[in-house]
Amino acid sequence: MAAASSFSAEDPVADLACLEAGGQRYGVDVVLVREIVRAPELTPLPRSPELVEGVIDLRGAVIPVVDLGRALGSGSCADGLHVVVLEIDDMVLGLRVDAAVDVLSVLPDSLGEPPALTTAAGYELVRAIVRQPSGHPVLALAPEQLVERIYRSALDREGAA
Amino acid sequence: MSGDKAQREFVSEVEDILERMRDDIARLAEGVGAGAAADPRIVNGLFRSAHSLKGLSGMFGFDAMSELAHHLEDVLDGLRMGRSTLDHDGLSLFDEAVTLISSLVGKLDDDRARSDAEESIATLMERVDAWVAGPTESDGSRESEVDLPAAVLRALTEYEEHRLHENVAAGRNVFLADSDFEILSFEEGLSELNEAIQALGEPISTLPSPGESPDSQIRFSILLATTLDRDSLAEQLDLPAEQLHLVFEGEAQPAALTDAAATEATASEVEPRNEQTPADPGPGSEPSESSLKSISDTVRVDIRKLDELMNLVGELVIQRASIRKIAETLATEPATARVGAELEKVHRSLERKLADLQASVLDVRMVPLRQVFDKISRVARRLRVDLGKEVRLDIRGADTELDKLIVEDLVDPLMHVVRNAFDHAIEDPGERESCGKPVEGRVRIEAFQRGNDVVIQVSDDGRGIDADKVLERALERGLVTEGQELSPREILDLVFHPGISTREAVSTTSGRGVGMDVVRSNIAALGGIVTIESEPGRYTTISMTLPITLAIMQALIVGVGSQRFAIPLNSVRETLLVDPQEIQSSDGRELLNLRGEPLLLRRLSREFDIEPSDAGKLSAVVLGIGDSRMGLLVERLEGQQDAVIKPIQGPVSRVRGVAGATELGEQGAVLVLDVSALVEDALRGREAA
Repeated sequence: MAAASSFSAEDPVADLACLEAGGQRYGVDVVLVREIVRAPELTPLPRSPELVEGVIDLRGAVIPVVDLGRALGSGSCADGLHVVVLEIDDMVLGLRVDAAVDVLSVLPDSLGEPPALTTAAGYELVRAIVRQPSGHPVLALAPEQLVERIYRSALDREGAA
Repeated sequence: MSGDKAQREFVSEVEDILERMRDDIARLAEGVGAGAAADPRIVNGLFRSAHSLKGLSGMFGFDAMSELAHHLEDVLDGLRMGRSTLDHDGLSLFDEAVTLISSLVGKLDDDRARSDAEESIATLMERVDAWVAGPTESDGSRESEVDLPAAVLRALTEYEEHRLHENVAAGRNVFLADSDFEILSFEEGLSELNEAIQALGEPISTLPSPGESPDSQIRFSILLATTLDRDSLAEQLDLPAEQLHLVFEGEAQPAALTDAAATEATASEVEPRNEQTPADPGPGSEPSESSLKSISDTVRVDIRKLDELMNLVGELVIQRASIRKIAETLATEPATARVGAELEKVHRSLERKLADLQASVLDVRMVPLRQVFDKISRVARRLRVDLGKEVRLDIRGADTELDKLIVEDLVDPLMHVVRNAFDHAIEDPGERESCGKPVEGRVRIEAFQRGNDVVIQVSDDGRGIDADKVLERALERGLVTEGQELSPREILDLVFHPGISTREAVSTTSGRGVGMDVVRSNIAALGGIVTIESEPGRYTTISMTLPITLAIMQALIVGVGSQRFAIPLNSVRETLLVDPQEIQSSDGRELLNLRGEPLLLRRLSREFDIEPSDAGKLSAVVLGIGDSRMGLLVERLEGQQDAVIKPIQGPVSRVRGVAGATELGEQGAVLVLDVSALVEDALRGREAA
């Protein structure tokens, strides 16, 4: 999949929307963020890929929502306050997060490759680690990998059925 | 009424085509102007436009228009194939054709104007042909009858040449009139003379003439056509008879024609090659003016824009619900009761208006089936010839309206069914005769509305379907087992089975065509069902039942556990209250005795892995797709509602058993069940995933 996110270590600067899920801080390229809405009640989607919690009706469009905390294995944010609506390669996807915090401008020299161990473990969802002068580092996400995963699990499911 | 509507649609479609043609011609003109070869893509586009124009006008019986389009098509075909090259003459012919057709469609109701325009079409076609034949050849034929010096012929513009042809063809006399004018005042003199000629016939061209005129004078030759003979012309124009040279002698005619000829001349475009030619009087400019204006008041709209409108209406409906809540709250407080009552009144009128708005938006989406049926009858005409069969195609109910999106997707399956009827069902003439049937076979397409559905039936009086052969084939394929009891209906239904290719199944001597399974799945994708009825040797009828619109549907809302689902009402046959003790288990399947027939049951909670609540009694929703039935067990029936169905976006668009979602008031998204998938899975004994 072509990188939908313009975000990469070579970019002079990128803006990351900072999200909190399961006690961890993540960043998503703001280019991909269409909007952030207060989490409405989710309609569960049966038979759907594991990562998909359900769907919401966003002004006439029905979009799937992924629990970001669970997707990243850091604890569910089912009671999260916000849904971050992403548009990735014409695909609309909602991320349920505990909170949307702020927007962070990232300079190239604050970017680090994710630790080798995490990529080896199939942790392809993290594109880079953003070191912060103060506090915890932010994990910059590769949301298109998330879409990829949903697709794969949807196909597995179809194959199994 | 319907004829009116059809004609409006025709006009609007023709205008669309003409618009495209104008664009293409303009783009070609740029190329020709720059000396480049014609862009084959544009020529092809133009060719296609001419082709559709031909079909469309032929269909509506506008033969002249159709014939002109046919000529254009030929020319364009020549260009496409490199048999001829495009030049400005060719382009201006296209231009004229477009203008002519556009003025013709504006005058469809005016018989006189129409026949005039048709006449002009005839002459234009001749010129188109002449252009195709090439300029050298066109010099030959009729001009050879005209006794004109080559220098004069060469000096004529194409338009003048055409007028010359015209007049020659009409059998008028053509003269070359020489006249001398004072150099200082020749302009005046010429225009006086031209005016005089206008009254008597048609001035075709004014040419300066070299020759023996006195020094202070200049001689002009005027090429003119008239029904008068030389003497009376000389007398009328006050010119010496020896200055009038008869270059073509027409047939003797009564004089009355001069008027018509004169108006014809003024009504046509006069080329400004000679400044001396009198300026065209007012009425002459009319055709070009009218061609600029759009005649129909139809607007073409992308259907997605209508979807947007539909969504907006849906949101307004939700807003309305909030207003009602506020009104109710206000009404319960004594202090604000009056305001509350007022608000409630306003709310009710808003509700009505919103319902009207929704209905109007829906109405815009509706198109008559005529478009599809016309396409089919065109194909049918071809089929008749190709197959060498005599078949009469009757079409009824072409005015029945359906959602545009459904109509689009209906063409293929319907065409398939009709083709089958022609190809496989209707016997060869000989065979029909020996069966004692009329030689001419009959295929009937009939559409009508039934409740919220539209039914389209295709019937033929052909050989019907041999149930034994279908069964035989199904046994071979292992679709049914030996000794399995099947009703005649169930056997016929096997024809729709993807495992059965019906051509193999029933062979060419008794068969229908292939791909009925595709027809069924296409129709199912539109939320419709297909059924078949047949009697061997007598008839086959295939019925397709479709919802009128996909944009809005009647849904039954059901509840399981804490969740709710919407089921399209058109696939709900009935609902029953079921005592759990009535449910029988056999082989791990649950069945219900429904009036003596076993009904296969599925629990929605189990299908979708939902925690059931302790409901006690259950409800069975009897779902039907075609003749297949199953009962879906749910906990609650929560009533009917209009629902706007929407696809689920993103990477989970295809969850089996879910057709989409809809919003119900303030309660957020509710999933809409895909009944055909559920029924299919249940009948195949597939376990819930």
